[in-house]
Formats: sequence, structure tokens, C-alpha cells
Amino acid sequence: MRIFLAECKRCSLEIKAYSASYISEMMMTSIVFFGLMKGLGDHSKSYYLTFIYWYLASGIISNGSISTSQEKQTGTLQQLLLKPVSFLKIVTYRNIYWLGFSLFQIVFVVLIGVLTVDLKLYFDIKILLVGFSLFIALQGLGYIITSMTLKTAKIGNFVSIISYILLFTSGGVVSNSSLPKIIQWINNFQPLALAIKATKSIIDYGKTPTDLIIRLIFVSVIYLMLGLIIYTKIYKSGKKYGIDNNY
Amino acid sequence: MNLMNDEDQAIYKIENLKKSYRKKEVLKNINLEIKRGEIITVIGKNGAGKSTLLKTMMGLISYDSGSIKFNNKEISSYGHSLYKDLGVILEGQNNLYSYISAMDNLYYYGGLLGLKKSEIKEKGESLLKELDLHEHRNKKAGDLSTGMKQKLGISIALLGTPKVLFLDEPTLGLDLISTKELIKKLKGLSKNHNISIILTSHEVSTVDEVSDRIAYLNNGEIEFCAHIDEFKRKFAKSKKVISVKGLLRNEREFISLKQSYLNEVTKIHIDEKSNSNKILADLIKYKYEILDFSLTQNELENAIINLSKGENE
Repeated sequence: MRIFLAECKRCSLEIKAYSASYISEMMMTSIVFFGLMKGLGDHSKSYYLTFIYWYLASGIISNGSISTSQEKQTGTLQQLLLKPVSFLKIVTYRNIYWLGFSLFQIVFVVLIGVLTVDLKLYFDIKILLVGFSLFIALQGLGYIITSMTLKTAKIGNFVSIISYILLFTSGGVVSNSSLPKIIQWINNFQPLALAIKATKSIIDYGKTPTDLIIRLIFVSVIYLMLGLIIYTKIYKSGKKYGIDNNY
Repeated sequence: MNLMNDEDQAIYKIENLKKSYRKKEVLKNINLEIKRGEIITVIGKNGAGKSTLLKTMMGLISYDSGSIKFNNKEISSYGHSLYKDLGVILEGQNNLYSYISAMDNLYYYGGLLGLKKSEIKEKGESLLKELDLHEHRNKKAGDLSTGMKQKLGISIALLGTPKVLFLDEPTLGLDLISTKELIKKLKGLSKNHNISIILTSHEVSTVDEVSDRIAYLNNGEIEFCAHIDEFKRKFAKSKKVISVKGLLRNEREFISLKQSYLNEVTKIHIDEKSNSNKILADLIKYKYEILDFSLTQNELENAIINLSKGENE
């Protein structure tokens, strides 16, 4: 618990130090959120939820990569590897923190929507199960991104590209049926796309897509395991050849 | 019955250690023992394998063969718990989060060690006081001077209760007074708390003052490892220098001598083969004004240079 609290405090101080950047990021998010809601994007009841999912995924990708990349360059990463707590545990706590912070940010944006443009918040208890499964998948995604950044810090340059590809190909903003066939096929195994599909089914059509939720849980666990395998492999390789601190 | 007392036992025991990076042998059959409470400095040219040796000892990188025992147990069997007993500063100032204060850096790293906030506050503040950093505790680490960052890194390394401290160039960027204070602190830790200190440094005066033993690493091998006095005795040659006023005229007795001229003073460097008494007598004979006659013996710098010259020859 002390380790988790220490990590939370450090992340909070990081947010405080770079607050201007986080505020401008929230403003940018608001523009994208309202722009898509009022413009060419999705006008369904579930839109705000699918946007929240994307924002959480985006948050974990960018924070997982940027903080590890910075730590590699400043040398603090090696210090973390020399502590009596495993780096994987630190990354896990960090992911949880950043997911919480991203949730706080996006809820704030959604609340602005409720207060200003009369955004309606539709909800169903089954969404909690979808959200929890997605949380598991995002932990896995966090491990994958952090591991790749351990291998090469340059990953940090591509995170916003990955993020926006996810926004437009997961079936939230652009409907799944309008996407190229290959992406539709990939979306059968992509947890964000599955979570969006399940949420649309629950909120927009009032259904309980059991098979979709089971597939989402299964895929999420696979993502988590894949993340752990990739992390272990890259960590072991780092032990063999040393972590490359160059950017 | 074990007659060996705890202090005599090696805290680290390295046997036949080998490590290669992509077919290049970086460490070749290293054998080294480090006793409790001793300060050992690993010296050697750039690329000799010092960092690899230290990182391997810390478990930060794996090794191909041989063994590294810490407290009589193979380091790989410890897992992360090994780091409860190690304090490490790899590249001094680069161990810190620049955007948070000195005290918050201590809280963070102390938290990772599982220490309570009150414990960190008490121990952290006392360390900062000892290292003359207390008044800067609320400054962001990024705003501290190089020396202060180095001291903060050392405070962090000492936050837990390390049995071994690894320090990579600990006095780099420190002013003379801070260097002296740090050396005193390190010696105190070694003598009073029985902490073993393993360091690398290119600053000869620091190495000379702080080390009990020196391990000279060359091309991945420990060529020599001994008490610093023995190291100096073996490799440092005594050097005599006579300073005379003005330039030497071209007397044949002095032609073969090595000399340098600066600020109207000629320094005659006398090697072991030459007879200094005869040179002095000749200088008097030719009525030179002798300003100084100095004898330097067993200098560490001299020893290191001679040892590396020996390899090159």
C-alpha cells in the first residue's frame, strides 16, 4: 500500500508540475468530444461512454510510454529497477493511477457537456462488467506499451498516432460496418472495439450481448497475459544486454 | 566451530565471472572478494568493464558463467529483496525526479523501500542536515546544483539500511569542501556502520583518500587488487625534482636531463637511474640558484600511470 501511495503521490506531483500541459490536453479533448458529438461523429445514446473508453485507452498508451521514456532518458528508470519492489508492480500501480486520472479528466469533460449542451447520460449496470473487462485489457496494453518503450524510447513519438487510429477504427466514432473489412475482422479481437460494440448493444438497443461480453472478457485476459509475457521477455533481454538509455 | 568473525567474512564473493555482449567478452574470469566495512575502488580506463562489473554485482545485468555471492548466497536467489541491502548511485544527479522537491524525492524512494512517511521524514531530514542540504529540501531537484544533486542521490541511497553502497563517480561535480565532507561521510559509514562501499572514480585524490583497496580492471580482467599502500608501493616510482632559477646553460652534465621551464624557473625531473647528489653538486659548481629540491614517493596517480604504461609497453 505504501508503494502504491508513493507512486500516486509522485504522479500527482508530476501532474502539478506539468499542469499547463494537462489543462490544454483536457481542452483539446473537449473540442474533439463536442466536435464529434455535434458534427460528423456518432450521435447515439452510447456515444459518451464509447468516447470515455477511447480516452482511457489513449491515456494509458500515452502516459505509459511517456513516463517510461522520460525515466529512461533521465536515468531514474535504473533506480527503479534497483528497488526491492518489482518494476512490474510499479508499472501496474502507475497504470491504475493514470486510468483513474484519465477517468477524472473525461468525466469532467462529460459534465461540461451535461451542463452546457444538455448531454444525456444513459447507463446500465451491465456497463460496469464491460468497463471492468476493458480495464483488464488496458492493463495488458499498458504493459505492452511500457515494455516496448523499455526496448526503444522512440515509441513515445508514435503514441498519439496509435491513439487516434484507435479512435477512428474501434467502431465508436465511425460505425463498424463503414470500416474496411480487414479492420472489421481485427475488431473481433480488439478489446476497445468489443467494449464499444457491447456498450452500443446494451445502451442503444437494450440488449444483453452475452456472447460479446464473454468474448471481451476472454480477449481482455489474453491481452493481460500477452502484456505480461512481452514485459517478461523484454525485461529479461534488458538484463542480458543492459537497458539502452539512449533516445 | 566457525572461528571467523562476521567482519572477516566477505559480503561479496565473485568467482570466475564471465560476461559477454554479443560475442564480445566484457568480463573475463573475474575473482574478487569484498569484506564488510571496506571501501574498494574499481579503477581502469574507459571501456575496461567497470560499469559492467558493478551492474552485474548489483544484479542489474545477468552474467554468462561464474558466481556472485552476496552474504554467502547467489545473488540470483534473492530476487528484488537483494535491493533492501544495496544503496546505489549510478550516475549521480540522474537518479532524481527533477520536477519534484528534494524532500519529495526522498518520500518517493523511501516509499518504494516500504518505509513509513514519519520514518522517511526523520531519516531524510537528518541525512540532508548531515550533507548540508537541509535548507534546500523544498527546492525542486532540477533547480539544485550538480553537487547538491549528487548529495541528494547519496541521501536517497542511504535512506534504507544498506549493507553495501555502490557509487559511480560520487564526487563528480562536487566542490573541494563538499568532496572532503563526502569522503569523511563515506569513511564514517564504512568504519562506524560496517557498510561496504564499492565505487568507481576518475578523481585520483578521492580514490587515494577514501579507498582501503584498489581493484585495477583492464580489458575485462582484474590485473591487480590490493591495499592502496601496496598498490602504490608496487607501481609508484619515487620522483625527485630540483627547481633552479632561470634557464640552464648548455653544460654537458645537464644535456640529457628531462627539464621544463616556466615563470623563470627550470624544473629538473630526475629519474631513478640518475644520481641526484651529483646533479646537485654540478648545479652548485656552475653557480645556479637552487630554489627547491623535492622528493615525491608512492603517489597514486604515478602508480596508475605506471601500471597503464606497463600494459601498453
